[in-house]
Amino acid sequence: MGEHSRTSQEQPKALHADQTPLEGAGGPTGERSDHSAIAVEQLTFAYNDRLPHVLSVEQLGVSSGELVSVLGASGCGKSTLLRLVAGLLLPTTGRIHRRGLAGNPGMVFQSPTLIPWRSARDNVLLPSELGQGRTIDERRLAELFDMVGFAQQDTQKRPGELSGGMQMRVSIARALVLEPQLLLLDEPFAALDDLLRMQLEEDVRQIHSQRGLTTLLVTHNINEAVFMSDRVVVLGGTPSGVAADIPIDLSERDQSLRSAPAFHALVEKVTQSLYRANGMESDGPADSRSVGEKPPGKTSEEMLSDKTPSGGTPSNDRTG
Amino acid sequence: MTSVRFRQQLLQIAAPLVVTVLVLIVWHLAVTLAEVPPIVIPSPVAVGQALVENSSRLWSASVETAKAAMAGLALSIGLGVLCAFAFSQSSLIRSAFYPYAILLQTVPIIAVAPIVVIAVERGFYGVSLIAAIISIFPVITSTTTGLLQVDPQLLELFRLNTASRWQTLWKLQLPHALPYLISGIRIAGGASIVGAIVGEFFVGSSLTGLGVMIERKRSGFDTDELYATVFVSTLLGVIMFALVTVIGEWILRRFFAMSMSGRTR
Repeated sequence: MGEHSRTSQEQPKALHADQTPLEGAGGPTGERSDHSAIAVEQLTFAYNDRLPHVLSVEQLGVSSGELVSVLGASGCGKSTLLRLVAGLLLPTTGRIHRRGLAGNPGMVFQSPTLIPWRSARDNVLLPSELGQGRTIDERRLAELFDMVGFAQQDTQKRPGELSGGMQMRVSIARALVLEPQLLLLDEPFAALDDLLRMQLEEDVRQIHSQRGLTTLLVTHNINEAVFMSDRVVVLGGTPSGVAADIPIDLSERDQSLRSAPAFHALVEKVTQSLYRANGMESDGPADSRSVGEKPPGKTSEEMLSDKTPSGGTPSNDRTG
Repeated sequence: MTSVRFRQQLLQIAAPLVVTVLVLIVWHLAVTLAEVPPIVIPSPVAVGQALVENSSRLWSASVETAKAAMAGLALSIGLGVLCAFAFSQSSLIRSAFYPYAILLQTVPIIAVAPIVVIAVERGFYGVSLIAAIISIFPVITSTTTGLLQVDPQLLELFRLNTASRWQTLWKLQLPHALPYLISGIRIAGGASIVGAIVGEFFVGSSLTGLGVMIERKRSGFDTDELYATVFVSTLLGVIMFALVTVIGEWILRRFFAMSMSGRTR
């Protein structure tokens, strides 16, 4: 983050969710709805006055109870958008409304981000000790560990004694401990192996549905976005804006879905949108690709120049 | 497997001991064969004898120096941690005062010591203050680094949960800075012994610490006793270093699942 980046710490008033009724903006981009839990309007963001804008989002809405994925190439501003929604960054211009989402959002980062000297239990309880503080019922804590699939006998273990997958489950439990209505996921499974990632994708989708959460997921993995989401928002352009907004009409979200033709068709559709958003041409099916992987008909040099419009680091994403 | 590990540990202890014995033999042979006057360079045997004969005086002098060094170290830890807190909270404070912290490190202590002794006291407090001056810099720098190098995502998590500045400092930054602080104290511990001895050079006969003894032996040309005193001074520095290391490692492992190398278990 640049030295002069605008963070909410500098202007704490903007941290709070905006409770004012919205005129519209919600559901799929451009449509107007009164059900938007999150509404982004005329948003631009630059890390400081000397740098060009990273984001320029005219309108984006997320309805209450929806799981929306934000997909885009590395460095396109996905995580920045998530931090803007979280209130950790302030827009340069424009507004972000959060309506009917009481309390602080829960957030899961790319790495588990656990405190090494605290046990798994104490890491989960951390948010309840911050701010005004809140007591968490033991029974509810046990239920939470069950929900995220974390064994009760391991709750006193420290992060160094847990596997990567278990650490991520603790991180998810921590994000949910204060029963947030908004869950923000910043590429939470990017560092995990495929088997574990697929299991956690299913688990988190289930938690989202059970708890009626409004969830915003940032990912560069097309399969993950399609599997988990109700909608996939594709970012592209310079500065990044919403290039496509694709509804995902899939009912059951279990592992069998991954081999269903409808799933593959949606993956292909999202892939094509992503290519178009980045000014690329695709000449073949591209399921299981991650953003940043070289598409057919594009040289590596062309990919690099596409990915670094403002002198950024070339993408080096994992294959999903 | 165990025997290999045991052999490695044995080697770690035995190798430096063998080097010490060899150095002592070469030293002894050199001064004996070259007939170097004992007043210039005494043989290790003479130094050993001086060590035994003056053991009670050396012990009490060591205790006195250690007390002054400990007082100075305590002062440098207290002030150093407070400075680090201030530096970690504001880049303006850091910019304004950090050059003066560097100044404390670069100023020659041997030149400052007489000024401090005259200004403060020709005794324990003056010596302790010199020990504090020489040992505060590693505490400030290492603790500031530890406070500032917290995982930015954890800081975001604290901000997201509307943690107060105090909560962030107490629950995150301070425990995170602990291995850095202990590393700083480890260096500061040895430095405080040096500071106390240098301070004692200038206090005259009001104290009986190792610095005073070194100064007396030097002016009296008691070279073997001078060597014995220097040996004990060195040993005191090593003990201080080892003590801080052992206690620090224990605290980190027992309460924070960390080690001074920064790795977590």
